[in-house]
Amino acid sequence: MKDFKLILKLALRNLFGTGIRLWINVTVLAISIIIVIFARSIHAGLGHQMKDSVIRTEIAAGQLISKGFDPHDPITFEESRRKIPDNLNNLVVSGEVTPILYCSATVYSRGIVHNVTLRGIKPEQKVLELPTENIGKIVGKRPLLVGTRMLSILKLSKGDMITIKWRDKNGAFDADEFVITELMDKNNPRIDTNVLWLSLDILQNMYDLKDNASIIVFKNGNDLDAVKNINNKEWVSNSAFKMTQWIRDIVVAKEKGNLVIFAILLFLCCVGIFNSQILEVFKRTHEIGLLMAMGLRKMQIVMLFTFEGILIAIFGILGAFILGTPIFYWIANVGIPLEHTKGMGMPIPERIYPYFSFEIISITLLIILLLTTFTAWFPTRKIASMEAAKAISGRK
Amino acid sequence: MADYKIQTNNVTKWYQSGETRFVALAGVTLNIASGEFTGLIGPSGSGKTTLLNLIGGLDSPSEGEVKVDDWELNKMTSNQLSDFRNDSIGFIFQSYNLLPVYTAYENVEFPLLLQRERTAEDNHKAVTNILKRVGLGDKMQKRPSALSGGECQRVAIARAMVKNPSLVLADEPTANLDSENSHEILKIMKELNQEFGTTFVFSTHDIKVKQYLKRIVVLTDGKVVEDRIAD
Repeated sequence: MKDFKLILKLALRNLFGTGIRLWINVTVLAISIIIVIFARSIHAGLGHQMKDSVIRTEIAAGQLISKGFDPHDPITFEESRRKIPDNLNNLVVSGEVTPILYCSATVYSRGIVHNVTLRGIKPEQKVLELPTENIGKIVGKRPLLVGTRMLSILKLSKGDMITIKWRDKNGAFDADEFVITELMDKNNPRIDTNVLWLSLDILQNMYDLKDNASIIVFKNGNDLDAVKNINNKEWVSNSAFKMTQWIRDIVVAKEKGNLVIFAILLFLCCVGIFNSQILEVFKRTHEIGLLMAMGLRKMQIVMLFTFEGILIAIFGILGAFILGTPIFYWIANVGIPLEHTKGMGMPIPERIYPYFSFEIISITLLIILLLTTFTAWFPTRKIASMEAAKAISGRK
Repeated sequence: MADYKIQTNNVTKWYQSGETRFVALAGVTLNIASGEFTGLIGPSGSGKTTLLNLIGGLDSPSEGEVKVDDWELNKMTSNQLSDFRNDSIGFIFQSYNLLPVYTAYENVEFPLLLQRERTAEDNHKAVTNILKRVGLGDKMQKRPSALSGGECQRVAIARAMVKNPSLVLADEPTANLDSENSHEILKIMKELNQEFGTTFVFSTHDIKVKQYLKRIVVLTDGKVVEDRIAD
């Protein structure tokens, strides 16, 4: 314990003795820590917001999906829609689940033909955060809910008419004019691009598919668990966790890709320490020899230099805390605009709010602490094992 | 033989560099009594510094034995050598070797911090006294960069003497000093030698040092070629 106190005292004396150099190193380290945590938090924030957006507008707590249905493959739409299971009627009526029917159709807008998916949803539903309240009110033409991306593709505005051509279950073609009564601006392009929303009843009538649906979206995960095996020959249960796996995969894949960037950032983060430790330790070979001559034991010398490294890291972490807290607080509130990513086809928000998790912060700080300790310990251990005379002469 | 402070018995030190072996010391046998003020004199490369390093336990001989008091340095572990250096030896180097980020006071205090069973009050008293003794009472809080060469060497002397060692090894202590400072430094060391009975061993090729020495040992090519009492 006395050794520990002595070494700590000497390490502090050595560090503070370097004056401004210590504070430059600490500041560089603190800024680097802030950058690393910020970069990782932005990344995590993006993943969180993507997942959150998809869950709120598309997946909710999970879905029962009609067997054979693939939302990305319109060919499967016709053969996979089924009658909503009777045992879900209570949940449908109470609003705990909302059935959605997918149908293929063609729209004509400003002389251009577009293949679209019509999605029928109950106007009164509260399972998904979609502005569906008014799409059940027919005033003249049948109403449509359209996302801003789709509106841009169609080059139309709210209130404009649009001609939709469809083929019912018997193969008969039909066409009519619809009116765009509702707009929505959501981050999730999967509910927007090439999608037109209308009332489930209207869509079922158009296709003569009374009581049919392609998917049933659940508000509550427990309800989904309770019914998932009831009719598993026709309906497949998918939890929100399972359905957002692709987002986690993207985040993981991007994280792997970003490892190089994080490694560079971490390296930059350690430049201050590398400078003051690895280079400095070699520069201080002569000093180490002198410490040996004055009777400092090898273990004490290794401890002394390692402590110096650890103390720089601790000061850097404290500096990062002091400098970073107000910056992170501010950014967490205002976010970072990402409007240019809207057309990328991913559920990327217009504004990213960094996600500062305990895991990100603690792992980053731990890595920095370990790197610091290692960069201080390794060269000192090597030099401290030299003969004192050789170290004093400055030979390596 | 047991009365000697330092005994070297047929000490040889060589350095291997690839195929080449450089012999720094070739069978040096030397006995130095307690309280002597001895100079190892010789040209560069004659083995003076190597011999001082071996006596101080900073290096180990390739062959032969080195004994200081009852310590047989060849048989000591690294930790024992550290304790031996801390307890018994003060080093003075040609280039002062002060810790640049410490003040004069902190540099002198440093060896005392390593000694257990000392209070902060004891240390303060010892450091203040020795710095005043070498004429630096008013520059205790200056860093080496703010001191002249002569003043730095005085700090080094104070650092070597503060723990009251029985042996001081000084490697070319006046080599970087002008004539006036050299005499000042030598006077101080001579006085300390007489006052405390500390054994001093110098390596030097500075002619000015000779007039202060009690004994002169001349080394050439790693061998003792002359060993005499000074005039």
